Amino acid sequence: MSATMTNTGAAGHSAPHDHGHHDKTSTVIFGFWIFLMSDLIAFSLMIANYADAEWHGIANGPSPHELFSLGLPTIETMALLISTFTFGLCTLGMKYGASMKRTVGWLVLTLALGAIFLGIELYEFHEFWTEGNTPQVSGFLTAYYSLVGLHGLHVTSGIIWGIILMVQMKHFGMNDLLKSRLVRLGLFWHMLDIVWIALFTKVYLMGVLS
Amino acid sequence: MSHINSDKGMDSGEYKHAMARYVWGFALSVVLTLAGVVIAGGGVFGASLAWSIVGILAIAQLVIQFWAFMHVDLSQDARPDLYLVMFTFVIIILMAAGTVWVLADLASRMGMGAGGMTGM
Amino acid sequence: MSILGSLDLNDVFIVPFLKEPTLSTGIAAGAGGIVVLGALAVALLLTVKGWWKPLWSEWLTSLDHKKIGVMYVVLAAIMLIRGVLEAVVMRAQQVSPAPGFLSVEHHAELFSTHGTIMIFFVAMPFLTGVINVVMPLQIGARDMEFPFMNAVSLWLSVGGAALVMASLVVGHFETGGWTAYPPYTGIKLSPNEGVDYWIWSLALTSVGTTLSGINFAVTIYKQRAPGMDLMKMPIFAWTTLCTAILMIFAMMPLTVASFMLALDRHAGFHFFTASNGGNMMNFANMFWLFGHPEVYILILPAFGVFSHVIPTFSGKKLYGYTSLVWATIAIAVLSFTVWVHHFFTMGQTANLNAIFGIATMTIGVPTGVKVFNWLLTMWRGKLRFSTAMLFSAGFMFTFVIGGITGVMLANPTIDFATHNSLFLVAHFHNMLIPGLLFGMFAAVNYWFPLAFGFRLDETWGRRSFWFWMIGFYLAFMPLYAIGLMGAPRRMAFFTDPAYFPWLVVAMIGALCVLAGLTSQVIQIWVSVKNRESLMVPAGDPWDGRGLEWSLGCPVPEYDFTTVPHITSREPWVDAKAAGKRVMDPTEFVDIHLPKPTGMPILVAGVATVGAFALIFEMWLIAAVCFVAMWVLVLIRSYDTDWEETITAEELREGYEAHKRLVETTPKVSLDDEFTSKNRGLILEEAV
Repeated sequence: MSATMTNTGAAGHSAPHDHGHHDKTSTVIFGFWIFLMSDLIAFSLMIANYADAEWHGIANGPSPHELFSLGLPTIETMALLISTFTFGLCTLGMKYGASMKRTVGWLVLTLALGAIFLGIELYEFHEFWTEGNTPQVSGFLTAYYSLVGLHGLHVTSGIIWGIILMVQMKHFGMNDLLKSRLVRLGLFWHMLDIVWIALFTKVYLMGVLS
Repeated sequence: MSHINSDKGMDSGEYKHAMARYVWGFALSVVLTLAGVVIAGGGVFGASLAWSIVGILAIAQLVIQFWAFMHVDLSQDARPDLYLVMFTFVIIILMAAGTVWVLADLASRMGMGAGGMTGM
Repeated sequence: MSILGSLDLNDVFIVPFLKEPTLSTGIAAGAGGIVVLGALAVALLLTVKGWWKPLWSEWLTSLDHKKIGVMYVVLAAIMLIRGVLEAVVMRAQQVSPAPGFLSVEHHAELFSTHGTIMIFFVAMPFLTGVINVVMPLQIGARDMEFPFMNAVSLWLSVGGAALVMASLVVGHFETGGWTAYPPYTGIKLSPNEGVDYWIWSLALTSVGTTLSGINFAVTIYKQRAPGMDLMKMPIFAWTTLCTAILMIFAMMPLTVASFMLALDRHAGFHFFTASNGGNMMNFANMFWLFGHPEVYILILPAFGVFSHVIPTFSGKKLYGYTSLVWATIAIAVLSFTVWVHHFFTMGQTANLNAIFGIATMTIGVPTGVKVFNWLLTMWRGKLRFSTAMLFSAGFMFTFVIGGITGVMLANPTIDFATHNSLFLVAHFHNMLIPGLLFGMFAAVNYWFPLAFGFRLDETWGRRSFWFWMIGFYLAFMPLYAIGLMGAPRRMAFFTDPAYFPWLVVAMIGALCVLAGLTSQVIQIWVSVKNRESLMVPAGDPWDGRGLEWSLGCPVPEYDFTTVPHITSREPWVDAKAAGKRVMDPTEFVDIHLPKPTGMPILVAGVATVGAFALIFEMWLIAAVCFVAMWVLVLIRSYDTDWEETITAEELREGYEAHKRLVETTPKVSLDDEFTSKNRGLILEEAV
């Protein structure tokens, strides 16, 4: 029951609120939503910078058309898409009282898919890098590495966060505080897939079309 | 997704209903992603038409994922999240599209790079 | 490279002076010396008085929104002193015979730190502090929604400010102005650590500000007293909400742009370089995507303050509440649509400039609405010119002049002639001194009793107002004039004799402002000394109108004994009209308050050391600090016992005690408002 989480909030409200008894969990999650939106601004600015650099910042480096192919990025995209789905199954089961084993199972699968995504991304970076296409070559490559890399850093921190949560679940059992944290990681993870839709489309799909 | 607990179990209709939403979101996302890849890689359409189509597919997928995975919809419960997301997208359009616009306009007057656009 | 990165002996403040003793290096060494000696003196004082422990347990570890707010304001006050002193040095430089007594680089450092400090480490902490103290009290909340995060925000801001102070002692600050445009701030033209000081001090504070924005918005959204729907919310809470939204969305462009600049400088990237496809114009673009909303982050809270001070000291309800709310919202949204007016001359087409020029002029409309609201509030009121009211009246008078020059600058054709001139410098000081500082000074004078239980000395308060007001006009009206004559900003010296008389007047103005600041220091000193006679334990010393005045002064730790039910916009006025001296209690229940914790200061401290390491390229130390910071956060995530309980019984006792106190406090007429007869609350018309 959510009653255990209710009013454990630091500023616990004593009087009934306008919109009924508001509980701390939903407030924390709403705060996290706002943080995600702020993060989204960062990504959108990076994408705008990429759009400009891909247009005017090729300099002596390769153009997106020369650099990208769709094979690996599509596999990568699928891995992340499946992972966002499995995370959904993880939090959905948790809400409806699935066993902890099952919840952790879905989480492990999600993080593993995230790791596959990251692996492919790093492999691609490595390939470009060894061909001499480093971020120091042109404005376009700078924008490419930093945009995709920023997303990759988010995925990395999501994986670390997930591992920490699994350790905490082992210590605490599945209490409401951990459920709230898991839901927030879930939102973070879903948001990363949404950001990846924009990245995949702008960088790779539109890149090979340019 | 502001409720972390339900008093119903995994055999309830509510659970199945919620599950259906995830499955639909996933299936549609897969279809839209693959469609984008085929259109961008297939060369069936001209470049600029293909460009527009993959853009529209991406926006569609964006909306679907917000709905399916992040539970943003028209219900009373999700209203704050919905307004927040809508406001954010207004700001994103102002900032990102504004940036592209301003920089393209500047480039058009400075003979920069590939575009070679003519100024007004 | 050694573990200490690029740090070497020449970076220590006194060394350049010893090697090459000139007035310029002497002043730099002196400034560094003041920082070091000041820190030592404070440490000594704390040790001698035995204040370390109470300071730590009562203040530095506190998660109480009022104490956090006060600490923000203290930070702002310290940095304001430095900022004003820098301004005086620069004014002195420009009236001394060319080339003046400062080296060109030293002068450039001064205007860069002056701008950076005034915006990020005076204005931002000042308004954040006032919001912290007042906003929860106005909406019937017991704290911010996320008190721990609130403290982290504070200490990150302090860390950023500490870095700017450290630049006086170790190494140099940058010389590219507070906007730090590349390519000048790229590694080729600014090879030393100055730009990195700018980047990392801003990184710390802007993360803190974003978190504050989230905190304020969620607090207002979730913690309002029952019955207080949005259109019953006090105006200050409204302006806080709009400011919070701007903080959430507008800090990111700055963070992104400054990280990109860091990558350009240290990783050889090409975001803003002049070669290899970099585009330095995008820096200006992103900087002002942040910078323009930032202007309204600064000004909206002050608008909120005036909307409470003016009705209180006019003895009238605020005129046109609804229009003020909509004007605030309009300003907040429009602020995202005008950023190009900061770089009209960068080279975009005339049509694009025209669009942004028109958008800019549009903002003048809601702002004008507000000025009329305040004027009509004063109309036929019984005005009492307290210090707070004087600052408010001075604001209106002065701000309108700044607004008019702003509309002039919004016209791209005029902007081309005045761009980067002292006319512009005069304009934005004309907006921010009344529109931010006067607002915050009014706020401090008005709400001070809530935090400390006594009023501030009125005599010195009024003196400080007149010095600031006259000083402002003397210092900046001449800059309008010579700006139109063609004087560019950021010049180390001028050789045109026609400017000289104007610069002398401006110098006198700067001294006058310094006298104003000194008066404020004296005001605090005198008030603390005479605090017994200035005590207002019963609360409400000004016949106030908002919920915050229904509490005793100082406000108890738990703020409200019971959270009242709100049925109107001015519940406290209604209660007083019904002859009540305390709000009716609802039900007494146990409440939970956050326990003090040293974790926020520890996290921010480690982050600050890490940032310092980045500035001097000590990559290993920086990495260790980064990991340590997250380990600390992780440790905190294991701590589930973060609250202490205040029982319903204690609250009931608090309520009864306050009620008894209020009932025994003698009645005083409004005429005795500023005398020692005023012990709070019972201000009534003279019989």
